[in-house]
Amino acid sequence: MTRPILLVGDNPFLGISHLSQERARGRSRSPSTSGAAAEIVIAGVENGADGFMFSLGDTTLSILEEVGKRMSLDGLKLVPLIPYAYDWVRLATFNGGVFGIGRQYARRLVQSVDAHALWHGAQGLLRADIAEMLSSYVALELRRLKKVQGGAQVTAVMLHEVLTDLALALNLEDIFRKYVGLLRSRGIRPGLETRNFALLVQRLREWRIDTGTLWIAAPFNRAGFQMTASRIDCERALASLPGGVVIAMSIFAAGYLSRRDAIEYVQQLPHLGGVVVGVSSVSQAQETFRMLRRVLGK
Amino acid sequence: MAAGLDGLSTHFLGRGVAHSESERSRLSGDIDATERGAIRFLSNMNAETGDFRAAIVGLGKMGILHACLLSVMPEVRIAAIVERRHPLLMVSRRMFPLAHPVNNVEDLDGMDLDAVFVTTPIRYHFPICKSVLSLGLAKNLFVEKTLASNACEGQEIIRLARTRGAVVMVGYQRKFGVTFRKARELLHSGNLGDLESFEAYALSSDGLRAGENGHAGDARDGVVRDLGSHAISLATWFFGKLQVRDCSCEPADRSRSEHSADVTVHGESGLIGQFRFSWMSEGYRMPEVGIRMRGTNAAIEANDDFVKLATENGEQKTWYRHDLNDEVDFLLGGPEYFREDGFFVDAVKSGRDLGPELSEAVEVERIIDDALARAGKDSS
Repeated sequence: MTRPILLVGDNPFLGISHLSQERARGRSRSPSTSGAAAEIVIAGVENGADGFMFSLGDTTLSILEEVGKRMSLDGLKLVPLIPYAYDWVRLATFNGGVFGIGRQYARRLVQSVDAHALWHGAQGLLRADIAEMLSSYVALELRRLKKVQGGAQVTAVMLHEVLTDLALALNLEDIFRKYVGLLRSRGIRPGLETRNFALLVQRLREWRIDTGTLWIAAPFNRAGFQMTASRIDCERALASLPGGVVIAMSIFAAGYLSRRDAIEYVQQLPHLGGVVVGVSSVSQAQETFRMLRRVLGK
Repeated sequence: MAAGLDGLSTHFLGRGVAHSESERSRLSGDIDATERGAIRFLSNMNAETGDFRAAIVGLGKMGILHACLLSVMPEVRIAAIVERRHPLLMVSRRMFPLAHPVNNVEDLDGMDLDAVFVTTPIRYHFPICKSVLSLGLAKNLFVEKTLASNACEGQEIIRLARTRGAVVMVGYQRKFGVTFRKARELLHSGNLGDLESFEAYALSSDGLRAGENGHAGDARDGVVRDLGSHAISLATWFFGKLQVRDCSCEPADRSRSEHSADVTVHGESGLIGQFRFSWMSEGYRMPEVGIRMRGTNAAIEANDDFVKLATENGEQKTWYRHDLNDEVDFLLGGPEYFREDGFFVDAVKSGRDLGPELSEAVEVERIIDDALARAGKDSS
């Protein structure tokens, strides 16, 4: 691996643990969440992390704001995931399902007073064009981010795994093509987060979508956890990828693997561009990123 | 401690939970080769018999999820989408360009469907299932949980299914979760000794997020039928028939949907069980379903993430998803959904009997009806 990109992930700040919801509940009780989370992000950056990868939502924006109060954001790499699908899916449960999501989306469009977003959003809604709706949504979310990003650079914008994998399942080439085109036209690297890495790579190749400037985030870990369809399939797909930046997620298999096992495994993967790791304390951030930087390269 | 499946039949014969060889195979916590490889298996079968043609009724989040999972399976085709809301039907044209978008279930007539997936709100399940089976709109049915709004409707669906020779499956996906399968394997292997009690729960914070003290829940069914049915389904799958002794709900008034409930049941050989359901619980980012059971020799705790076995002599072992072969060929919404859909499609294609699957689903309806009646609630 050439100098890998190391990113602090946001799962612990959002009460997510893929190992156990019980553990995640323990975390969510921690006090002064935004400030404490900001300290953890800073500890990661001071010990080798290049930036912060996060689902773009109110919580993570407030964390970023707190980071900005404590240190200069200049040069910090920001990799937002859009949309924060969890919020939308849970909203759907009690707010009229998918139809309710549509209403919420329309309301946010109108409130945005963003001509680009309104135009694309209205077009999307009128024509039921998912790609157009996504385009307007991305514009809205980037506008929110701009308010707090300071001198930090938006290195790539990742399409959240729920949307990526939904579009992948339905073979919606158009969504991928328009999403990639939209971000490239704005001078931003497009990214795709997925739990189906091997299939995504196969489809991108079939669709002849240039992966050269693409970022892809997917699980890679020795336990094969969430590596679909299998660890071997994902490793082969990674080795065959002609270009782009692949960011390994879940390298600790959600806390199932030791730090040494996890890092040794990603170290030997070819073509890996970086890793994203969620850490839940300052000391964990210091130890983890220091070790990642030392082992994976400066 | 008894280990493996050898002790299963002798231990449970006395309680009427004896199992055939095929059932023993189904009890295994590890996903067997047939289920793991369902897609490849199907691929071979369909080469001879043609595409599996499915229709989705109701394009909510569960409808979209099932449609996505079916779409990645070889030789499985979404042939039609039934959706009454026009904007969603328009979206469906973009998402499923090869599917026929229609407004009514009756419009599925003549489409030569292998199966209809019913993913509407629960109150519409019965009329839709009845139409599909009685009008012969499709040969088979997959119904998202719960099967119907009460046990009577469930029985009527069973009667129609038997008349038509249809495969009907209800979407209790946690039966396809590796941790619950492992827990059941441990239970039926005699690890617990004599079973004494269990506590099952289904908890979420959805009602808190919805605000207004969870009153948004009135727009849908109460927590017992909606979220609680998952835990009831697991308990009947684990322990067989259960009788309701008591139930208390919040709010207690008859006319309003309950957001929390406590249900006490008893089973065979003195088994006592307790259910706790709520969507007003703090700290549940995602809904969580779990079960704890105690026997004379050991205790088992299982939820979506892990299964723990703790013996009387202090030994403890924990299995996480990672330890239980949780791989699937496509991951969206959780591996259990993919396994569930693959299992159904495979059963339809191979003409395999699903065994007690449907009668267990009606048993869940009966327990819900009894619990709500005990609490003085109307069963919808």
